[in-house]
Amino acid sequence: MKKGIIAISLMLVLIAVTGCGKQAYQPQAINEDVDVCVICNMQVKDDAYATQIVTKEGKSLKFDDLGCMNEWKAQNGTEDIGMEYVRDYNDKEWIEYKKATYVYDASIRTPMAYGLVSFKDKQAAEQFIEEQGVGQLLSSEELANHTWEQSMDMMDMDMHMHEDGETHEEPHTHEQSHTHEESHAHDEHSEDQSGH
Amino acid sequence: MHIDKRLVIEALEQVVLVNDHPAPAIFIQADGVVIQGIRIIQKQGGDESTAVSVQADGVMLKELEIRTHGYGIQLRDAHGGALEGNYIAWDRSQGPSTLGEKGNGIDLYKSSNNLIEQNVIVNMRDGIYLDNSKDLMIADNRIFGSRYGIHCMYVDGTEIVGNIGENNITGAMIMGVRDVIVSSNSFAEQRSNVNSQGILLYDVRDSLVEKNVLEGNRVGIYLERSRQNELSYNSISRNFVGMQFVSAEDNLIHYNDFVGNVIEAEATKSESNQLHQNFWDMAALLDLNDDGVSELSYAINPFYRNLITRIPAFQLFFQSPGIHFLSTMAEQDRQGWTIDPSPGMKLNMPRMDLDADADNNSLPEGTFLIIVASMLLLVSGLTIIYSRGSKE
Repeated sequence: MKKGIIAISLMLVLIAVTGCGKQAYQPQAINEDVDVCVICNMQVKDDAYATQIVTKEGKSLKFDDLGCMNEWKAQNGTEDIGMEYVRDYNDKEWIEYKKATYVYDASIRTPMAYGLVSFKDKQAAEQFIEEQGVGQLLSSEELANHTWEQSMDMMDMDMHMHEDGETHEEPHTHEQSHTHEESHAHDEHSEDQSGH
Repeated sequence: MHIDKRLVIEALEQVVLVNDHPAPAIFIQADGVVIQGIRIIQKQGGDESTAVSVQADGVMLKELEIRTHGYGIQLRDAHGGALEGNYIAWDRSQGPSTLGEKGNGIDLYKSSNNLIEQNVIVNMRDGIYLDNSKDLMIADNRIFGSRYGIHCMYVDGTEIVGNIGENNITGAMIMGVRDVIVSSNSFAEQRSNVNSQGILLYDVRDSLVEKNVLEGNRVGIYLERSRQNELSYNSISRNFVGMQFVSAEDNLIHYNDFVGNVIEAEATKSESNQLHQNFWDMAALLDLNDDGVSELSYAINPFYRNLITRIPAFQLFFQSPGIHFLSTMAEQDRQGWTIDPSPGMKLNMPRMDLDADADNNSLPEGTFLIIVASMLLLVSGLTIIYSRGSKE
């Protein structure tokens, strides 16, 4: 009887291990000639800002900015998602969305101006913040409460896409004009990292 | 060359500036600088390496000829300047390059009130890239073989007039803009890439797109998530898809001409646009009261768009009898389609100018006939004379 239980539990462990080991949702490489962002239609550059969703059907959806991936999730829900990937800012390695550490600042230039970059480890993210002198460290759980604002200093109104796909206008707040000044001071620095 | 004084530099003869360093060949930090007629070769690329960098107001760059392995001209916090008659091309002397390696021809960031006029840009990433800037005038530029001819990101109150774009991936990529006028531009032959368009409008509001010529592109005008725009008097011909709407609402689309497109228009989730008096050459028209407007409406079938959303390769079967048959089967929910209730009977923008040009270039038909006839007469005459001569 005891042996039977051991055998069954061994089998269960084996199934669990093989199940975990099976990497069903592998990220695809970016092909700059044909890949466009599913949301904003812009060419996806093979850079650190590219993100990817592999659906349960095995279809790869690519995005040029983390914000566009968030927009897709807002529109389509997360049921069909097999795995979400972002890239390490330093070596462009694909990392799981949930395991990555994020840095946000309005002055960081990203393709769709969401101002978010991702790192495979927290140390690298902290180092980035130290180098830039700005940035807010975020985990993937904290991103759930992120406002996803696009940095558009020159616009008379700040636009923000909401979950229903409707655009709403929000006048400049005091906080936003503050980040504007801040971003001004770091323009030169952030331009160097800009990939677009 | 670092310019931090108010200078006017004019090349009287051929002046060539060759830069082997990643730093800009010309770096302008003084207001009111004028540079004219210099040839610049920027050999280094990578990151944001550029031939000319402007970080000052009121700078004028005129008739520069730039060959670059990075960016062409960069403006950063530079307002009230003018870029006129410059030529910017990717430096091919160092072998072939991918699109990702290339820089933009003219690149503006936080730079407002600038005039960009009559420049020619060839084989760059984006011909003219405008980011976080306002009140710009982009006129009469010509952009070839680049990724996006004109690329706007978060731009306000700008005019894009009279530009020509050919063989780019997309002629004009207009994203996140307000109060922009896109008028009298011509975007043709944007179709070599699977994602090509003449004009793409994404998140655009309160803008006017008029009198543009969109010919031979994969998609003529693509409109997504945009509202309260007016699209009128555009000539949209010989494209694979003439006009495509996705989640675009409250736009006014009137007096456009759709001629010879494989699919005239596609619309999904775009019910509340107002269409009227467009000319659709595929539509069945009937004008009972002779007012130039058809009494039969023209409805845009979303079938094609729905079909390729999931599997884009189905495009290969468009215009096959099977697909046409299937599209007629999918007509039961016609109520929700985008409809032009009053299609025009005649072209709104007749292409008279082109016909006139063609006539000027070739001989009149009569003259041509006389020349051919006289040549035939001459040849036959000579044959008769010679053949008679040989008999004697």
